[in-house]
Amino acid sequence: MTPTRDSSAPPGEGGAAAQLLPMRASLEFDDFYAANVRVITGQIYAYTGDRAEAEDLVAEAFCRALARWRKVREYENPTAWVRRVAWNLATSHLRRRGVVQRFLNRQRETHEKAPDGDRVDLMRALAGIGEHHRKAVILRYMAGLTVAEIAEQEGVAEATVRSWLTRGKAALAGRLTVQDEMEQR
Amino acid sequence: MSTPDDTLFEEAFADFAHAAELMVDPVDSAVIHGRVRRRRTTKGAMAAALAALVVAVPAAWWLQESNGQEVDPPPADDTTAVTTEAETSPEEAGGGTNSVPDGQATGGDDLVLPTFTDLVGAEIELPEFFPGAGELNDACPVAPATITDAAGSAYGDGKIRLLKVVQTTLEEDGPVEAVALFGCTPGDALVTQAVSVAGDGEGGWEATEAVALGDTNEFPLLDIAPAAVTGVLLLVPEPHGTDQSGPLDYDIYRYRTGADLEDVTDTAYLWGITDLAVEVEKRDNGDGTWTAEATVTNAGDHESQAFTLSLCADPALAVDGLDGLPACTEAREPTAEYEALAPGETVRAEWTVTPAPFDEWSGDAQAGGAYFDVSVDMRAYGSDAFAFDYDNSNDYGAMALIADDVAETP
Repeated sequence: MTPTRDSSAPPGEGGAAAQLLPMRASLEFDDFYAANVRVITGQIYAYTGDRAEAEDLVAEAFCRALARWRKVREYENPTAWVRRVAWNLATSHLRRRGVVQRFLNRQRETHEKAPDGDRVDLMRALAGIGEHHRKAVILRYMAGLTVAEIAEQEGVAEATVRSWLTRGKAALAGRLTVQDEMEQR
Repeated sequence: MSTPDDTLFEEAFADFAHAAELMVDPVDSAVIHGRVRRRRTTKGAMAAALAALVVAVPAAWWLQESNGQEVDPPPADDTTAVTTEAETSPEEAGGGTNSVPDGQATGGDDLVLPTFTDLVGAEIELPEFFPGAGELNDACPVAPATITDAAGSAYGDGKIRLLKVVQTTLEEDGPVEAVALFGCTPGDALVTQAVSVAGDGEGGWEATEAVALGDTNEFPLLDIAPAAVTGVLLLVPEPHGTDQSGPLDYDIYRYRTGADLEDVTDTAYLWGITDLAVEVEKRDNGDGTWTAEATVTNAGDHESQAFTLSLCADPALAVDGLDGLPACTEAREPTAEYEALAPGETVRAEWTVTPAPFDEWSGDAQAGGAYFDVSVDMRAYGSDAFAFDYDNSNDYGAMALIADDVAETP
């Protein structure tokens, strides 16, 4: 009952060459992983507010990339594919778990090493803004994506992203200002 | 409130990004390799289990129409060129499935056919999941098997879970029978088997015919669906290793009683990838109420599945016409059902939302906004079709309306 489809080896690569491909692809994946995993995990951490959760979600995204590495590596931008999968996983995860409520609750707890100084403020401020706004700000300023790239990833119009960014930045600024004032008192 | 310019944000986030990258502790790439090796086809199996649960499923599915038109090739002696709905309906072929009380149905020859609900909690003698493997079968006890609803199960628990039940004829002019797909997870991979099940005449259920046994390496049976004319279709993703391409590769076999499995992959009619785009917009009505409008568009090039819209909302939001809308921390309830959308077709639904006075909002809502969340749940399981998440990158099926600016309304 073994399926009888043709091998997926690329044209022209047969015999020993085909046997070598997995090792080559494997090493290539390792390089890809090393170059991207921390950056993407940092972004997801900023989005979810939970470091361990972010690590799990990004690991899952890379698992999916590895499972179809022959295809993904041919993409114009494999990093974008993994980032998108990771963000989708994170978004689904947050929504299933009650969206912002749990996120905010986590921010009030200090079970793990937290960023210090201004980073704490930024983390808390991010936690307090809307999901779309938070995502847009992180993708723009942490991932360095353009508005067009964010729009493509999220499947929305560029105008929508600009709106999210404008409102997200305003909300962030407001929350950071409030925190500053509270700390000065 | 003024908004800082981009430069300030870029500086702040550059430092923040660097700190976040240093704080995280990703696993070594060897761990990723190991997970994928162990998992192999489990990922696809998880998709099937999710479909069986009828919980929120991805917005894009690789579907195989199995109970409609030109599903698989007609029998060799069938001279009808085009298979019609009437010709392909198992109910028609088997003499009908008149409903009977308690959710059960009778097939031809007085067979009593179980529904999904009937089998959950039942004890049934099943064939072994690992024939000839001795003690390995202890991890998946089948003599008898106590059937568990997939919804309440966890992977790795070794329980015998019911994934799906379909009704079809297994031989030409034969009665309609119920074929159940059972799964067990002795380790980190799901093993499955499809078995014909009928009433045992004493109020219980018995396996009457072994249809197919999955093998995680050679024959990772993922899903079942009624064949167009006679038989049951078996969806088998190609086993793939670490460096092979993903789950777009699959095979579909047709099982008929007494016949060899037939590979109908190339001729089975595919619905293909259907991408449902979901958007939720909000409008301030200026009278203390807001209008939330959900737009669902079939952005793919094939007909979609039927689907439901499910809602949840922050307790601070009252929705006209809907009492007791669940909070988003609870299980949401489907609130509207829609039939399949043609490519490019759009449906809209809107609700009037009335926020409570801001000072009555919870602290979390005051800080983060009150959510009105719309989810699209594909009715894949209920349609007798294969549900196959084609690339696992479409995990989102919901968009949330974030009413975080309600508080800013004068």
